[in-house]
Amino acid sequence: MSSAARFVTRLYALLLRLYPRRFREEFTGEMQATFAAAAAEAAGRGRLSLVTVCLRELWDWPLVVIRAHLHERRKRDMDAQTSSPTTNPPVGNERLSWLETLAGLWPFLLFGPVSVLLAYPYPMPDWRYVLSRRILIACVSLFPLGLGIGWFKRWPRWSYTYLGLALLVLSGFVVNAIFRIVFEVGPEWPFWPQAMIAIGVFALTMGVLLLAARAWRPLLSLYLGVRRDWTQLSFGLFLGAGILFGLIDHEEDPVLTVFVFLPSLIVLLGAFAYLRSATKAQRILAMLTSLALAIGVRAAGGKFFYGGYGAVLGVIIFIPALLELLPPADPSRAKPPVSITS
Amino acid sequence: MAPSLDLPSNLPLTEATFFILLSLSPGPKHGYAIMKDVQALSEDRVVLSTGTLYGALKRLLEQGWVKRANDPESNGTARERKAYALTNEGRRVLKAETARLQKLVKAAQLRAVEERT
Repeated sequence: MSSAARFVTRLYALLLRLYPRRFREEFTGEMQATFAAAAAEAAGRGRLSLVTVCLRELWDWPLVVIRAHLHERRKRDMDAQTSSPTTNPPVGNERLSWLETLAGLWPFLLFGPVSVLLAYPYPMPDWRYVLSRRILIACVSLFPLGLGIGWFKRWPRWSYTYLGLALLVLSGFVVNAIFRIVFEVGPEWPFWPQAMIAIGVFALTMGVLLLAARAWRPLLSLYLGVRRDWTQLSFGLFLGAGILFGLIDHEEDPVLTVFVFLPSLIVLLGAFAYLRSATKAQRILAMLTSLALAIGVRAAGGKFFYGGYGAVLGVIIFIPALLELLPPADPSRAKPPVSITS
Repeated sequence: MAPSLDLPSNLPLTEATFFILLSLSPGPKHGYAIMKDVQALSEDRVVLSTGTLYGALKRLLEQGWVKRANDPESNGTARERKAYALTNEGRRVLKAETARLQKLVKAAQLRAVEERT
C-alpha cells in the first residue's frame, strides 16, 4: 500500500470514532479493511482516483453517522421497552471511555488552571487580554454543542458538566434579578442573606427543571437519568467550584502562587476522579474531598472568604448528592416505570 | 419456518439496498466485493461509500434479510474477513422488488407501444 493510501486509511480510522459505540464494535474492523482495500486500489490508479475515493467517503460521512446515531437511539428505546429491569446492567456504574472523560473534563480545565494561568502575570497586556477572551468565547460556544450531544445520547455522565453550567448561569440570572428588581439593592447586602437567597433560588430552579423534564417528553431521559444517579447533577454543579477557584482578585494576588493555582488544580483532579470512579460513594467522596482541600489551600493562602463561598457552593453541590443517601423506595409500592415513547 | 414477512410494506427498496441484495444473490461476498459488484451492476452509476454500505448491511442484518457467512475468498492465510449472504427472506424481498420493477417497466413499455401506434 502506498504511503498516501496508508495516511488516508489512518484518517478514516479517526472518522470511524464518531459512529455509535455498538456500531463501531460490530463494524469498525471491517470498514477499515474495506476502505484500506479501496484506497490501495485507487492509489494504484493515481492520486486523483484516491482523492475521489476520499471525497466520496467524506460526502456521505455526516449523513451516515447521523443516521447511525438515530438508528441506535431508536433501538435503545425499543430495547428499554422490551427488556425486564432485572436483566439490565446496574445503572450509573458504567466506566467512561477516555474520550468521554475528556468531554466532561475540559470545561474544568478551561475555567480552572487555564483560566488562572492566562491571567498572569498581571496586569495583562492588551493582546493577551484579547487572546484569552477569544479562547474563552470559542470554548464557551461549545457548551450548546455539549448540551445537544448530551441530550441526543440520553445524558451520559460526562454531559452533566454542560447541564450544570446552564443551571448555574440560569440561577445566577434569577438571583441577580431578585436583588436588582425585587429588593432594589446591589451586592452591598451581607454575605449570608445573599447566600441563603442564592441557595433557595438554586434549589427552586433545579426543582423546576426536573419537573419540566418529567413532564416534557423530549427531556424525560434527563429526569430519568438524574433519578437513577443524583450525583450526576452534583457533578454538573461542581463546575461552579472550578469557576470559583479560577476567579482571582488580581489586585490582591498579582503574583501567581501555589495558593492561587493549586485549588483550581485540585478541583480539576476531583472532577477527573469523579468521572473515572465506578461507584456513587466514590464519586461523592471525590467531589467532597477535593472541594474541602481546595478551600483549605485558599484559606491557607490568606483568602478566608473563600471558605464562605465554598460552603455555599458545597451546599448547592451536595443537595442533589444527598438525595442519593435516601433509602430506596419500597418496590412493592413503586409506580410502574414511565415509558419514554408512550 | 421463516417468520412471515409483510412484503408490500417493505417495498420499494432504496436503490442501494436493491443492488446490495442483488449483489449477494449469486452467493456470499465480503464488503469490498459488494462495493465493486454494485458499481459494476449499476454501470458505475451507484458507487457506495463504506459508510453507506455498512449502514445498509447493519439494517439488513437486523431485518434478517442478510446473514453473516464464511468468506468464500478467504484462503486461511489472509486476514480474516467477514462475508454476507442472503437469507430466504432477503431472497423473497429481492424477488418481490424485481417483480415490482418488471411490472413498472412492462407498463411503461406498453404505453410506449400505444403511443407509437
